[in-house]
Amino acid sequence: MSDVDFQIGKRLVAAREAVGLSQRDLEQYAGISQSTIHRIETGHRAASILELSTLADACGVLIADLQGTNALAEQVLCAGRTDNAGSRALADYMIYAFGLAQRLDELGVPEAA
Amino acid sequence: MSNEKTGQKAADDFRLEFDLGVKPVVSMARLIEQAMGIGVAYVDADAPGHGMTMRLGDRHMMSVGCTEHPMRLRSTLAHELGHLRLSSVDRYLGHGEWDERTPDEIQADSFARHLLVPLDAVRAAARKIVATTALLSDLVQRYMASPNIVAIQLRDVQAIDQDTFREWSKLSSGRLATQFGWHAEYEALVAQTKKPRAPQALLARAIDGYRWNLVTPATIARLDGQRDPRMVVEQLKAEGIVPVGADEGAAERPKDVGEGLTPEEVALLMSGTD
Repeated sequence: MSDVDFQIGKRLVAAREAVGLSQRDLEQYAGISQSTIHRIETGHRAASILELSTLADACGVLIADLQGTNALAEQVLCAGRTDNAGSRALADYMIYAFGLAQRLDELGVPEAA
Repeated sequence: MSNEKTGQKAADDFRLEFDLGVKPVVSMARLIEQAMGIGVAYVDADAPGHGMTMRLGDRHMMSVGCTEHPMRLRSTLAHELGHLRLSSVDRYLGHGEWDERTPDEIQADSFARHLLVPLDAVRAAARKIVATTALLSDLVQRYMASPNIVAIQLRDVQAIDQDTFREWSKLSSGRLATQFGWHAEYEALVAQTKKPRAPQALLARAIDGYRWNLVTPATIARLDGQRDPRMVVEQLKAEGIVPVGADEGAAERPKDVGEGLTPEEVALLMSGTD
């Protein structure tokens, strides 16, 4: 078990649980068996890029979120009426939404005219 | 120019540019989305009424924590719009000094107050009737701003003195709504600001992607602040929105009979391909 696989597994658990999915539900959405999902989540099996992409889509996150390589947080500028604790959830949401907008660009889903 | 005046001028300019006159802003979120082309989200978080504006390249977005205090949410969004109009969306995320009372924050507060409750409107209202809590309630109801914000404006047009201002600032919108008979209207506002809201154009795009089988229900659930992708599927289906092909019966999977193709089947498969 590598530390990278272990961290990816932890992120997958968090992403899956955030949308209330069981491993069985995820099996249904991703088309990857529950036992494989279990082994990926516990870091006992490395996920391929294709599997990660499918699992990320099924949990509604970006593949970079599972890989821990989402660098948008370092690129954004901001202002706000908040504090250190409150800023976290708002920032997390917007970074996710920006990432989704970029993904929709890549997929060719047009912005409304 | 003072921070107060800078904020006020920016708010007056905004009202002029978008032809708002002294009318109340019905929906801050839609005003920002339509006037500025920037998505606005209400996020279910442990930060009720907090707000943030974020910029990535030439894209902007705003978010505010869901709250049961609708006037607070409107004021926060107006404050965030102030940052945008005053070009003060310029700090890196990890700066760690959110609590600091900088000139940018004071200007954005002033912008918010003058955008939500224009002085000319307050002056005109105070000219017609005596400044009592009934007038305060009427302005709070009409402009959907907190008693504190309205009381500052009433004081600044000299309709009330400093002592009255202090007293009225302590009143809550809920209290005024109950006392002056518009509680049902206030509760409707509370219901709106307690619920998560996705940036409207981005959500519409995601749903379009869902129709084309490019976006999963979990993505829409996450964006829309919902917990269960299955509920999303049901809600969309109830409105007749289903992924392309989902309403067509799938072809039956062929059975492996352990035999090769017949010459006729080979010819059919190869026809026209040489």
